Amino acid sequence: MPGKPVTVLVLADKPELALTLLESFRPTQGQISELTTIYGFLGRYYHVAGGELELVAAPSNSDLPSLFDLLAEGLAGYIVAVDCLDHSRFPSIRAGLDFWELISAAPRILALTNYDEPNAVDRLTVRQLLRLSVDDQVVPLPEGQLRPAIISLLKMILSRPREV
Amino acid sequence: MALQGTLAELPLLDLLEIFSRYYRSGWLSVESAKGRTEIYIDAGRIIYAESEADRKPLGKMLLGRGLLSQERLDEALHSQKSQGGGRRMLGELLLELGLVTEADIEEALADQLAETVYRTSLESDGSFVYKVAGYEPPGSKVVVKLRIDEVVLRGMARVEDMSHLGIGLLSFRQVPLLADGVVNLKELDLPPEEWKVLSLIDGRRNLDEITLAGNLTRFSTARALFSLLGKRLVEIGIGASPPPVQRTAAIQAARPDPETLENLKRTLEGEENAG
Repeated sequence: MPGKPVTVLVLADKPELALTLLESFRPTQGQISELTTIYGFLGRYYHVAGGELELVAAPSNSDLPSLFDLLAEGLAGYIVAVDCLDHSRFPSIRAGLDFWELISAAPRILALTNYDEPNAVDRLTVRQLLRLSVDDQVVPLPEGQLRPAIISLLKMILSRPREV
Repeated sequence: MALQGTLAELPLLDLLEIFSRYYRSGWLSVESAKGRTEIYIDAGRIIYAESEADRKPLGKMLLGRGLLSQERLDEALHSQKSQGGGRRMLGELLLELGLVTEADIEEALADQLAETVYRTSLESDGSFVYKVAGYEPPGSKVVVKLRIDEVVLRGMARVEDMSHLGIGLLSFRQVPLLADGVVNLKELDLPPEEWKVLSLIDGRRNLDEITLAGNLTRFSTARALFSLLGKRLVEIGIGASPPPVQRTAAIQAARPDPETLENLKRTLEGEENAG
């Protein structure tokens, strides 16, 4: 009997990036049990791997505060997608990080797309430009695949001390 | 200048929104299967509308709003007849007899106007002609000038029978709130327009601010709002806007079951290696 699904939010300054990443997630052993557009313009959510994982895509900006309060409830962690080819959006991504730090204590991970392109900003520069702390984990997403980021986030959640 | 077209190409409310935005004045005639409706616009405000199909007399509107009793109306109609039939306007007579106030007449006229325009706007087949023309109000002491958003809210509330919602008359300065108990948004299946309005409701923005923030038209905001009110997802705040919400504490992270987490991680790692 599966327990309550683990909810992971995929955030991006450009909402379409969050959606693309979500759509790249194609489990082999598990399956997408539900794919819906109920979030309308906000994004989509999947129930995957036998309903154990719930993935929600959403924009990372702070334009939708009341809805994000609701999304933040029950959130196990979130992934913030960063396009290494578009550093002009970094200030906006930083603002998104500040906003999410304010509303949610859930752990997060930063996931880099296009990190291996010739004109891409490298990982260290990303850390500097986004003023990340030493606790912030940054993972590359080979070919824009979301799986490594989800696995890293799950490991991070598992390693967190639990209250007894 | 004359402008003409079909309602399929340019629906009535879109047309009125344009006139409102550019403060246009003129006369608009709409022909549909239900007959002809004439609408007069003054600097973007709708000031008069009359339809062959749905003509609601002023007396009936006042009765419907509980502003006048049947006996009093009969009394006024009798007096109108004895003073030479329809030459005297009922509203003026009611005012003179002290049976209603100017504000009552204004309310009823606004409802009459809004209902006529809104009902016409529901027609998708038909044509329109717009001409720049003046309009002389029919000598009444009471003249109403409604913005397009007021027409939509009033008309929609009357025609779609929103009485069960108990929201009274809405204005775009009111602040909508999320209804208590709206927690699992994922179970909702809403069109994008309603999601947009729902997500912009933060207990601070009024309907005009939501329209602006969402890059919506007042009509689309009103349409989404009424639908959300009907679904009991939203309530209308009464009075002034509440003070801005201060975020004092972050929402605690969920603590998923470790076994579920471990199982999930193993599944995904297995898939990654297999891939």
